[in-house]
Amino acid sequence: MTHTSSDDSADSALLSARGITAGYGKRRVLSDVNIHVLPAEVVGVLGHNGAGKTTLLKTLMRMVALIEGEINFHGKSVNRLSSVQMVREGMSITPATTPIFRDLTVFQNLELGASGVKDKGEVRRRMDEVFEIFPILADRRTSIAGRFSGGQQRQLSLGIALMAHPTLMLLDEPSLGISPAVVESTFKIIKDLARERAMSVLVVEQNVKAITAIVDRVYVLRNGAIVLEESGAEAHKREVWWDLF
Amino acid sequence: MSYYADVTISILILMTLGVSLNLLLGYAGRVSMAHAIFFGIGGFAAARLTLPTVDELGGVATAGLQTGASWHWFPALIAAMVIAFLAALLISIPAVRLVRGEYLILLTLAFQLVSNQLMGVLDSVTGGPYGLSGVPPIGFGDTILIRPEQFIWVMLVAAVLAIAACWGIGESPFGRLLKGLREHDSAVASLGKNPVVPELLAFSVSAAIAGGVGALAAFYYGSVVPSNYTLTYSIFIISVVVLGGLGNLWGTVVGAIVLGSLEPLLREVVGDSAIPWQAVIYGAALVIMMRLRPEGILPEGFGPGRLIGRRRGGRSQLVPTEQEALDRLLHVDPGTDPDAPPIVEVFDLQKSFGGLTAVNGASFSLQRGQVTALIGPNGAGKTTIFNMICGTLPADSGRVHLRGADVTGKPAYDLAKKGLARSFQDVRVFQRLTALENVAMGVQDQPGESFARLLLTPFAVRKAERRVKQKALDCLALLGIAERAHDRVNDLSYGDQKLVAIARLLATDCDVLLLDEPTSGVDPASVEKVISGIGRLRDLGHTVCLVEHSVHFVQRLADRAVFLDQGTVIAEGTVDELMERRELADLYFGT
Amino acid sequence: MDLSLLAQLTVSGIVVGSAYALLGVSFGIIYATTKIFHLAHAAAYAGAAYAAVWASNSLGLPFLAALVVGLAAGVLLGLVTEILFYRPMRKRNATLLTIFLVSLGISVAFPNLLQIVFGPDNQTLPRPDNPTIAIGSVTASRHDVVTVLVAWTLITLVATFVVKTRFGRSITAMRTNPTMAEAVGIDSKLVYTVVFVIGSLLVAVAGLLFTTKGVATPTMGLAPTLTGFIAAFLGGIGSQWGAALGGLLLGLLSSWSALFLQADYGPVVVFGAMFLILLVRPQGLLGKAAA
Repeated sequence: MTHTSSDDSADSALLSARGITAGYGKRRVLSDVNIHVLPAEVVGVLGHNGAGKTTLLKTLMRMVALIEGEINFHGKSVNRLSSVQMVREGMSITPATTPIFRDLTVFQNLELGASGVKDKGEVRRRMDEVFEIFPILADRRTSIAGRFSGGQQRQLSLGIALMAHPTLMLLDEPSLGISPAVVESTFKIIKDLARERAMSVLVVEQNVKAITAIVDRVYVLRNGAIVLEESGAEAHKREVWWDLF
Repeated sequence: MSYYADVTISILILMTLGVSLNLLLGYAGRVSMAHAIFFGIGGFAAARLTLPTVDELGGVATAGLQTGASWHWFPALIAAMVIAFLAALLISIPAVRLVRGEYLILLTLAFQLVSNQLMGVLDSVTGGPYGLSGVPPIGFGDTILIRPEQFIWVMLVAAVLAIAACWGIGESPFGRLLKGLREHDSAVASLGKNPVVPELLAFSVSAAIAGGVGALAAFYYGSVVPSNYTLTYSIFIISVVVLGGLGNLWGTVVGAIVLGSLEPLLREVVGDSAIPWQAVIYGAALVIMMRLRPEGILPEGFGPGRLIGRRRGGRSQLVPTEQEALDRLLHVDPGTDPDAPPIVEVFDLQKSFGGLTAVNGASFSLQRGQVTALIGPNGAGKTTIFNMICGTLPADSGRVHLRGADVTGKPAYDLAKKGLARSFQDVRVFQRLTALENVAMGVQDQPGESFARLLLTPFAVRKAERRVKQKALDCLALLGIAERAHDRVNDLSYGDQKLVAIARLLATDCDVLLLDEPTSGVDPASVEKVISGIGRLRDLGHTVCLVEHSVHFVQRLADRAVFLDQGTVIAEGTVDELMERRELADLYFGT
Repeated sequence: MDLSLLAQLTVSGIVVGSAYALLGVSFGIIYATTKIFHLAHAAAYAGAAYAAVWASNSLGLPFLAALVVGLAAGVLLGLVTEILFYRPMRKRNATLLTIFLVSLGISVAFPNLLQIVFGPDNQTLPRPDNPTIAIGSVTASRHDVVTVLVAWTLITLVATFVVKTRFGRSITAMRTNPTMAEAVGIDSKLVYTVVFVIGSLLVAVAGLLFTTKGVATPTMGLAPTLTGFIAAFLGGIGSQWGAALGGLLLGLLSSWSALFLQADYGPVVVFGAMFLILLVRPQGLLGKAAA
């Protein structure tokens, strides 16, 4: 990849990933990917189905083995950490499908979100925080999560992630399974959260127009490689996307 | 001398049982915890058939239960094998539905336990826990083979025959089918081959051989006792096969000799503790082997030939050039009738999953000789429609026509025989076979894949196999990977594995080929080869339909595209035409 | 129908069924969480029994202390199997068949090792008196009552632990949504360790209960392990109460079958039931169909 100006700021980045090559067995899903995320930044990852977006998030979370490359988080190398340790380091990941525990209550779901927190009092405090952000969850804290609507389940999934007090939230297709009207408000919540808590978000999305409205920067992945990096504003104005997908 | 002959006989029995189990466990990849039962079924059948009749023994009062039909040993041996064959068939027919491997282990385990219990309980058939004794030995005219030094020749012949038979079956095209089925049933079916029958046959043939040995053992030992056919013995046979090497008959020979000698050797050292010591040793060997070297002492494909440096796959054939292959391979006839309907037509396909409608009245057609791509945003239903055309998924309603004939809902292997075949997004090439063997499996109408023809016309099978191999080589050559023909697919790069899958499809001679995400997972460097490979399919006149998420690749691969959204067809046309339309971009990328 | 015979058979069915329930829960929690068909469970059963016998006969420990030694041995055997064998093999992506074969190897070697060390004869554990209690026309021994109490107490504790505590819920979470479990940082190594401790502890208790009533033999572990599997299967994999009820049902059935079948047919009924269920309804009687 040619040197871009963003490579300089990568050094003060919250997350910096260089030369990432990863896959499953023989399958090369990511080839020589460079991305970074600055503190309190919202970054989008776009691309066609199968381009490697989910694998990118999972690799950053250390759920997928690195074949080559360097991942630095909070200034230190995390190549050798396990995903359990990454949660403790302050990274969270919210999967695209079934991002909740369907058979457990809201309370129990959120409690599991704070799996690394031993102090019961602290867990309660964080839960109250989440209830303030998502009042619907507060009202129905003893309801079984599987009965909620798609939008409410998404809110719960964000709440679960917040319980770990992450500095970087990885979100995989948060608009999946929710109606277009609710998508906009969900994205607004994400943007507000990032700003209020000085938290960074790396969000994978298919819905190009909606996500480019709220992100600071955007990457486009195609067949495992980055083909574009630009500001959210430029991406939002872009007319032709076909060739990038 | 007698003692050593006796020990050798029990080793040969173990070897024959092991070889027959390897056919099932190693080649077909199916676990049976009940092999000792079929050994026992053969033994009891032979005993019951050859024991003297009540009259011969002087009436019911003196005869007790040890009576039979007084047959000659030879028909009894055959009958024993047939009975074991049928018993296995009866169990395996429902068992093949159990797709998950662990359920088959448990089912055969339950079968072993129930049957062994029944053997001890059904007094009138088996003589109860004490079994049957007085089974007449094998005789040729005046000579009765009762001493170990005599019987050892019978067992040697039997062992050699069994090994030869299992080798012949295992290394034949039929055996190749088994090896394919142990990895991907669905891929075998997609090539037009029935995925169920070969497995049933593997189960039953291995049981028949075990039953035959059971009969011979009955004739030699003169008695059959339920305590010989326990779970412990089934596990012992499994150990012989697994330690020796799954899929390697030489390994089973070595394994049987090693494990079979344990008890006699140990007896010299620890006397009566020989049996528990033997179990500790082979139990520990299983644990250590599986932990460190799961493929066994002799891995599959490793034989005496390898030791003298011969490459796997036999004599190296001349590698054909792409042009030679192009000339030899079947070019699809474009047909002369301009008014003929499109080769594939899809009418009003409908599919719902629970409350969710995935496909909502989709209709489109595929033009002969062209590459058509199904594109659309996430959740458009592309893969669902694709699977409905291929017969992988049944449609709720709607029709699929192939050359004007209704083929809706036909299973994959039926469609392949009619000229429509598919590839898989996760490739599903057979990792433990060579590239050539993979592609050879695609070739249609192979006499060697029929068990009956394999037995009855072995020479015709050999001749046909030469032609099959040549064709497979040509397909590989056309895709530019002929030099990898004898490499195990597991050793190939992912991109090359995708090419093998395409070559395999080519070998089916199906004119309509459906490719599922052909470029997914292929690194940027190898993608070009896949793209030109698909181009070759078009060169030969095939009609290609592909699901491809990357529009960029669709622009390079496809002549036409069908744009889907929310389960219906929004537009059809050339790729460039569709790219011009603003409303499609809005649908795909959001407004 | 002789009512007092029926009553007696029912009582003994409950006693046997309670032991089976314990076995079902012990096997079930391991199988449901790890998906491993842990045949080597038999080693924990027999190992606990023999350790107690050895502690009592060779070390001269009193009865209760010997039991504690037995429990420790059972848990240790289960833990060793998981940590030394299953875990490293999982890390190297071994197939389920290969892991099963390791379990098979252990279940073959261990009983024979016991036989070599302790001899093939029955081993007896010196135990306190076992007076008979009569309730109406039905009799039971004190040991029977202890069996029922201990079994259901432990089952209740485990079931409550899984449902009511945070860690217990994380075990269920791993089973039902492994992706999310990984995402929230639930440590699979810790979960597996706890599951093997619980399962091995329960099966050790079952082995000790059995030995206190009867004797210890080298091959004593296999049949209870299979019974435990059948019980868990009957009740639906993943449910502790399901496995317990499955065990109780099996116990009652095998006891009542004495009314019309010879004693020898008992195992035939049990294994035959397993065979038929696998054939017809692989997800078990109460379970959901496999995805």
